[in-house]
Amino acid sequence: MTSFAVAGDPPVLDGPEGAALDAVLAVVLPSTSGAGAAEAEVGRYVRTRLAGPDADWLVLLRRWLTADVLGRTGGATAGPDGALADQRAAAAVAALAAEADGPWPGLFEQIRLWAWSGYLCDPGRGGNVGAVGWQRFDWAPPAGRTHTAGVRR
Amino acid sequence: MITHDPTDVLVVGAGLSGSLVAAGLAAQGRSVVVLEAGPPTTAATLDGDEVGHVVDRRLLHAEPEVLALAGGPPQVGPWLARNRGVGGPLAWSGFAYRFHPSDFRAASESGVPAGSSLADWPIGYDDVAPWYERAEGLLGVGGTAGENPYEAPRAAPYAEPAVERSEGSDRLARAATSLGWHPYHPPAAVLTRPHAADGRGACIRCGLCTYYGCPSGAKASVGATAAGHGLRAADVRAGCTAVEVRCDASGRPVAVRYVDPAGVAAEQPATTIVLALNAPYAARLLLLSRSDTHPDGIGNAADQVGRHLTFHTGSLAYGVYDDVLRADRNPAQQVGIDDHNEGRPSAAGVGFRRGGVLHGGISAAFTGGPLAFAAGLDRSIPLPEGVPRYGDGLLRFAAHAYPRHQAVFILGEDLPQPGNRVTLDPVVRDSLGLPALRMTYDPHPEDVAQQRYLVDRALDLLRSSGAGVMAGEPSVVPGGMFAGHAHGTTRMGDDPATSVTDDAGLVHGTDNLFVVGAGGFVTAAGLNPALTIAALALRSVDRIAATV
Repeated sequence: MTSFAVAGDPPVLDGPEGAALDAVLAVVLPSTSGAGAAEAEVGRYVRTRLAGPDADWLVLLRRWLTADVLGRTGGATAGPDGALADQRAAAAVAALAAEADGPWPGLFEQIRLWAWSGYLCDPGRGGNVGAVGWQRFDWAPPAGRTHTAGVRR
Repeated sequence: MITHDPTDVLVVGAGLSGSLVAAGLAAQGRSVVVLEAGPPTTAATLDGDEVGHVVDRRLLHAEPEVLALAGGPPQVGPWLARNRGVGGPLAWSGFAYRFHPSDFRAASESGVPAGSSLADWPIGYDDVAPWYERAEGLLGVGGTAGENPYEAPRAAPYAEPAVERSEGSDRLARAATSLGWHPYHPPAAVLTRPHAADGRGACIRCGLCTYYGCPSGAKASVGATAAGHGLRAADVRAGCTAVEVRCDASGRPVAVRYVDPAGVAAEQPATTIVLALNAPYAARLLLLSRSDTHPDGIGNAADQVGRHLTFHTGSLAYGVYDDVLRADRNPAQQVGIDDHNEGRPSAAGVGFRRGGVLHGGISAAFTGGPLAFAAGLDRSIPLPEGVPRYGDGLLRFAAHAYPRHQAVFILGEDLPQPGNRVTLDPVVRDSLGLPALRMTYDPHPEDVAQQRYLVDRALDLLRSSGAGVMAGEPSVVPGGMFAGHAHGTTRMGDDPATSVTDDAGLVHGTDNLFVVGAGGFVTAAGLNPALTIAALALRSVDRIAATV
């Protein structure tokens, strides 16, 4: 039996960083026309990955969140709350997506992969809460396969 | 260092070719030890976890590999889709083709393009045909004989039925016919009915084929077949990575050094040694095996080890339809188009002389599951014009297209070139601290022309079948790399100056070191390689047995 049950939300990012990440994910997969990253709780999935197999990305991600999303310079902090935070996240993602050879190699593609993975993963992995991603993609796990932490359909 | 008691035959690698060779030799009463770098996986797990299989590539190796593509800077991967685990392959799609007779004499049929090392094989189709038949029987291959007018001649019909088409695939087949082509059911090592001989079940159409093990056993892996049961007579050691073929003072191979699961160095002496690794890794092991008598690696006196690396050109096009098709539940063997393969397109003055096959009716991720599709967009799956790279536009497109799309995949014969080769990377090291695999690959101009032509044919097919939104473009990276199709690097031939092994895989200049698998392929052919790998491995068993 396969089990990948997630316990809690790993504290790999501090409060502002975690909120900034959630804002970024909401830019990548917004809730404009239906369930997006927020409803699927993709942020928790990403933090789980950062605490495990994707730990190598943590330093680069934190540096980017700090520099380009939170705008922390010289110890000053601009927390990602309200419209200002959303604007910062949108601008940061746009700049990252347009970057070809900049200081954040591969980070846009990795954030997008995290977003999709957290949106469409087996809910047992901590994202896709309520299977909202599967529902939006008109998909259900096929019979004969196990899903959701080893439960066979 | 642990030194084990000698064995008759040591096989390195327990995938398709290694498992068949080991089982065949054990059945002939030889003592056989098998080293497999992967886990002792013989049964597929039931879970359909996309993160585990597609993102984390659970069934594939993940060693760092360096790719220098088309003169660009070296890029560190893993790049190759290398199956891991005993009794494989598990993560493959199940295409089980016989090569065309012309594929064994491509140079004579098509001429040799400038810069290419296209050559005839030292064997012909008739030499391999009996072994194809045997491999089909072992793997349980189904198809519809005679449907493809260009298929290789067969002595008997397929023993198993072909995979059934979906309604969407039927639509593609009708469109192909309207274009004057000849659609067929591709030969598949995927059972549509239970197989009493080895206890395999029928396909459940879960759609999770490539990257996954098969929960019903319908998709063949050697471990799931009666052939694989022969592995039980061998001493199979999982988690053991070979690092050197050791020779005695005269230069004769006598043992393989490896690292066991506990990280302990060990040596297994053997009368005969068989390298059955993924082709580039067989070449790498020969290159790693340097000694005073083999200063450039075993079998490399003529500087041929690692050369003539081919992958298959590979691209895709896909279309989105108005209605729900559910291509994500299809096994990959839906609609084959062989009309543009071998030398057929060259008659139209298209700028290339060896073509490829089209396969349609498949999810654009080459496997089912919404994550594979969504995460592939803007990476291996091109975005249609106007669809953004992130945001609501991307999410709306992906969610709408997923159940309504189907793809046509191109698998083309890439031309061998001497400079396309495997070497040892001077900088990057693998997890054991050894020089990583380095692949230098430059697509031949005819490969580029071929891809453009075949992508256009795929788009023709989709358009004719009623697709609305479409996307398709030639791949910059040879797509076969991602399918586990790596050939050459230990090319077979009669002349030691231009090849590494003879037609049975015996390394020139030795009398007890064999290489089996796709490494011996002289050319890639425009068809999936698995059945040819299996057939050639079976063909080599008696020659190997004769050395012990």
